[in-house]
Amino acid sequence: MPAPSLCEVQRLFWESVAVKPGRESIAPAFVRLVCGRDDSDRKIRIAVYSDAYFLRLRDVLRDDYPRVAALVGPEQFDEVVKGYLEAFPSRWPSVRHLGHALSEFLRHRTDTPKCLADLAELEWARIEVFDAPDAECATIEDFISVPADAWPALRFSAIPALQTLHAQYPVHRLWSGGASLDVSAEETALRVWRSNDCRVFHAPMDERESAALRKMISGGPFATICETFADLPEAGAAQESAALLVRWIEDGIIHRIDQAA
Amino acid sequence: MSLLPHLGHGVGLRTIHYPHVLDRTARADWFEVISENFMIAGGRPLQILEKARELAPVVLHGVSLNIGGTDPLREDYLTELELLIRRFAPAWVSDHLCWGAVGGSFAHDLLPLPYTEEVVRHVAARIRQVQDRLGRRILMENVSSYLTYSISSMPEWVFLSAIAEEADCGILLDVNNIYVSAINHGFSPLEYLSGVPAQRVGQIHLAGHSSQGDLLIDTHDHPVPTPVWQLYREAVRRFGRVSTLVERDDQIPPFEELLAEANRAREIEGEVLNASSISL
Repeated sequence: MPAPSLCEVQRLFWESVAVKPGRESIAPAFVRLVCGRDDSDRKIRIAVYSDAYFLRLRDVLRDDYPRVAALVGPEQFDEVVKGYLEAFPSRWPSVRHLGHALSEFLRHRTDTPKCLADLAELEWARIEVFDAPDAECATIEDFISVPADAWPALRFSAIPALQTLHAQYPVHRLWSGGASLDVSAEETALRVWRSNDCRVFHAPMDERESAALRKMISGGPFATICETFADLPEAGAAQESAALLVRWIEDGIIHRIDQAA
Repeated sequence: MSLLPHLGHGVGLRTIHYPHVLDRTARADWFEVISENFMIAGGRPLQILEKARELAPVVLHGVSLNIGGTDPLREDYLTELELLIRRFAPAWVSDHLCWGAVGGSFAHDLLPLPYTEEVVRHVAARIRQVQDRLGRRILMENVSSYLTYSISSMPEWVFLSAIAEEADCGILLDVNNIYVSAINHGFSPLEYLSGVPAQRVGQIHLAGHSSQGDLLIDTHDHPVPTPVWQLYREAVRRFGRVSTLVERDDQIPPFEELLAEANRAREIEGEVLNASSISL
């Protein structure tokens, strides 16, 4: 029988270590390719790689999703990881991207609490902003130095390391709270960002802040942001909008402030 | 490799060491970093690497080039590597003589190759492709292995040497990996050392390992053990002054302990080379 090609060797290797993560799935044809005293010795050698594959990637996901892992506990997290790796094997040279679809994966599972997918989305957003592109941040001085009559036309741009997410559950409480998954559904909007000193934060937003931030991100001018507070007197709406912008600037999520040309 | 500078005795820079980089107490001869950890758009790791470069020379060490794979080399990966090289001007670039991906999926592991003429030609051609793309010679590291293939037709050191010659690349000789594989497969580590072309060895790695049944596993979670230090002495005897680096990836000790191991390597190199010059 001719020797298998390199491609065939690698296909058999992959089938034996990665197709069924955390479960034995050694291809008999691969066992025959491996040197050893006997089949038991050969399988022990192959198992070093299959065990390492699962354990290494499990640890990566546990580091990326510490709250999900803690809340479901080690045994169920292992089961989640086995299913996830089978459905979403890593497609990137950098392992940093491995967990990109865990939230989506959890959303389709019926054996884990529904809030878990939202929590995973928050944890992944924190990873994405951690290494998002750098950008200078606008300062309070940049804002208050603008003449008052130019404010209505002011436009703002957000730093790249800012994400917003909308969850069905209060995931910020799951993230920081105790060890219970027993939470009631509650529409929750959050912003997630990396501050100037590279720390990652998230904060829940009420409806007004969420709407105002959406307008700011989509390029709406200050006057449009003020419309979020249309139920208030004009001066009050401007004051509330300005207060929001000051908070965003202090948090470091505003990249630029542009006056109309 | 005579064309590479002798950087001395360095340490693998890991996240736990970042505070030492920031307060400028990370005083190693040089740092090696995992290339893929810096293939990101922005944030703290890239800022730390900028600061590390101010302290000492930096070398980029990849784990996912998949040089022995049969998938095409990833264009996006090479582009990111090029960007890193341009930004951080590493003293050199290295990766592993192994494969790690098939059918577009990555194992994130250093998987062993069969040692055949066909694979020598395949891998050497891919190394040349990478070197042409990067415009520089790269170093290939021997990996630890727990299995070998019945279809192999040559020992590992012949395979490594043949690829280095055919690709005209350098060798990053991992002394711990030689020891681990020697125990796992029953070959002589000294025969391995004597079979490697000295002029191509541009860097040496030192690390620790652990046991699992009859096998040694390259876990990088222990100090460099005595047999690996002994083999390092032999490596210095054979290859002379070669930039050497201590690696730790798990149970990473305080920076000072890692630095102490790098200093021990420096002492051993001095002892061996002094003894050699006296005996001449």
